[in-house]
Amino acid sequence: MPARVRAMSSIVSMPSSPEIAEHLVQQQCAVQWRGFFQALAAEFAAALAPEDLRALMFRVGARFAAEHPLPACATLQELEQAMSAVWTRIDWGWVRLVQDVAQLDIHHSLSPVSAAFGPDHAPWSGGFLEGVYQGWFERAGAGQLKVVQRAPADAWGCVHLQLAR
Amino acid sequence: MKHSDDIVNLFQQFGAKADPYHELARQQEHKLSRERWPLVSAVRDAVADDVPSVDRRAGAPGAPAPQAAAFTPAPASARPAPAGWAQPAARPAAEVPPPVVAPAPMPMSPADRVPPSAALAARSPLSGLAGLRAAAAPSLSDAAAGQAGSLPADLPSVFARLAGAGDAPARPAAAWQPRKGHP
Repeated sequence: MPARVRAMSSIVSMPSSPEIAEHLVQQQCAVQWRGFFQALAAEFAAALAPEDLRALMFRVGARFAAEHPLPACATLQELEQAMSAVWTRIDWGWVRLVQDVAQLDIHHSLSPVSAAFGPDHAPWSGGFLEGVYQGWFERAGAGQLKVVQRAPADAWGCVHLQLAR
Repeated sequence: MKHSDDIVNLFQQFGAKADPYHELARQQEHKLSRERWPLVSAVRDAVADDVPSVDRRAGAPGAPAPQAAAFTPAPASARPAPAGWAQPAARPAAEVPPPVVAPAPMPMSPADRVPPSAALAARSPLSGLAGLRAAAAPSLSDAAAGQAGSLPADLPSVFARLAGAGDAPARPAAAWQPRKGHP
């Protein structure tokens, strides 16, 4: 997490007003593209089943990972910093990697995917992040492991995924 | 608390010493205060062992032991004086207090790696009254987090461990996935 965001999070509380929260969430996607993405998502959803759409988004994410290669990393902390550097550069939030005994938790904060496609399409649009992290972890040497989203994104675009066997 | 020193002043008027004189009214007020606000007494008792001495001179009771590599502040003459601020004349060496020696940082043990709020709650006398001391104690999940924190962080070790974790359930059975007909 960038230091600026860390400092702000320690002094700023989440807005209690639903109107303010909704407005801030909408700011995550430029108004110039919001209508386009939501029409695109509605058309996709009318033509394809959710699992097919999720597979499509996974492939889009894998392509994104290939086009945004990470530098060589030796440790988990370096990998987290390299991933977050890509996300923060394009204003897609940041990621935190937390080791557990049997899995690696991937906490992505403030992804704009849900804001772009709309919350109704969150069940399949999250396949994008799965594909991105799968691609990055495979290139880092975790080809035998699989990235799985553990829960739908919340209203702020915070997504919990896991890397495990 | 407003109090009067009339008795002491009266003694001084006659050139006498008021040392043997004891102001009983003041002690009576303290006693009444303690009975009226028991929380004040509770806080005083709770912090009695936690409050360090304000006398930080070397050798004073409670003062930190000087460290060989401790920071020593630069002499006052070496620091720039702010504009408009007059430097006081140099005092005789006997009057100059010895420099304050900062204590060296203590090495952090795993037990110290608790959130700042929890660490503060553990030291706060009021947390005991509010039941926060128990909450500040490390929980089972903290212990599990500590165990995960001790895992090797180099990527080959992480990936090899996760790949070999197939004997144990690698992830909860109820993985979230979209289902056909349920967008």
